[in-house]
Amino acid sequence: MGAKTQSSSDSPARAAIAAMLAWVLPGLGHWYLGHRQRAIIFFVTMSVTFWAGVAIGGVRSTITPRDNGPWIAAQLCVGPQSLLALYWSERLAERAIREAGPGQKPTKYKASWPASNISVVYAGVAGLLNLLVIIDALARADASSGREQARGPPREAADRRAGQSA
Amino acid sequence: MNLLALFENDIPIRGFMRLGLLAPLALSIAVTYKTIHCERLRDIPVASLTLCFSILAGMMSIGVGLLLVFKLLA
Repeated sequence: MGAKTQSSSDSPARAAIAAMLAWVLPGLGHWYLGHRQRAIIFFVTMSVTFWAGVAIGGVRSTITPRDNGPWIAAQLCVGPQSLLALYWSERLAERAIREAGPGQKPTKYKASWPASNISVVYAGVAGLLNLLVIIDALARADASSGREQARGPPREAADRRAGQSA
Repeated sequence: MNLLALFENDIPIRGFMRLGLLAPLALSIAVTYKTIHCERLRDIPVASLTLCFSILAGMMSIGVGLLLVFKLLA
């Protein structure tokens, strides 16, 4: 009984940890749940998509809350990688303003169309896909705890079998 | 070449490349979706490629359809 209560109270915590890890590094939530090959596929897919987007349009045009509006919310779902890119983008914007001088438009490191649009979509889609992966990690954590509860705690099952044989 | 410069400056995109960049994005969506949905890992490559081609074919047919509508209305 005690083991059953502990298992059901562990389930939300396990799911929350898996979701948090999935945001920290794409695929890490699945790694934590034991789906290691899936975790590697997620990590490679998300990271390549996100950084391919940044490479297409340059970090300053891709990760910028000022120019891209709500896309930044989707991009931030990739996790600390996107925060790093955001910091880098801000630093480049400051450098561009310094280099442009007073009264000049700081256009350095700015991408031209259509690279600017394509890069934003790439990084945004990577973030939205990671959101799906986070939801999947939550579902898998919930499903695995459900299976454990359906099977019953191993010690109780062993005791039952021992009682039946005696 | 400085590796960081690759991420600081944009890549000039012209002509067919504009359309070609749809394929890697569709592949990444297909791989993620099928990795979530496939029970067996060995099913993922074929299922992902099938879905990727379906997405591309769907997008192309929508594009052609809209072009036809545009030509008819013009």
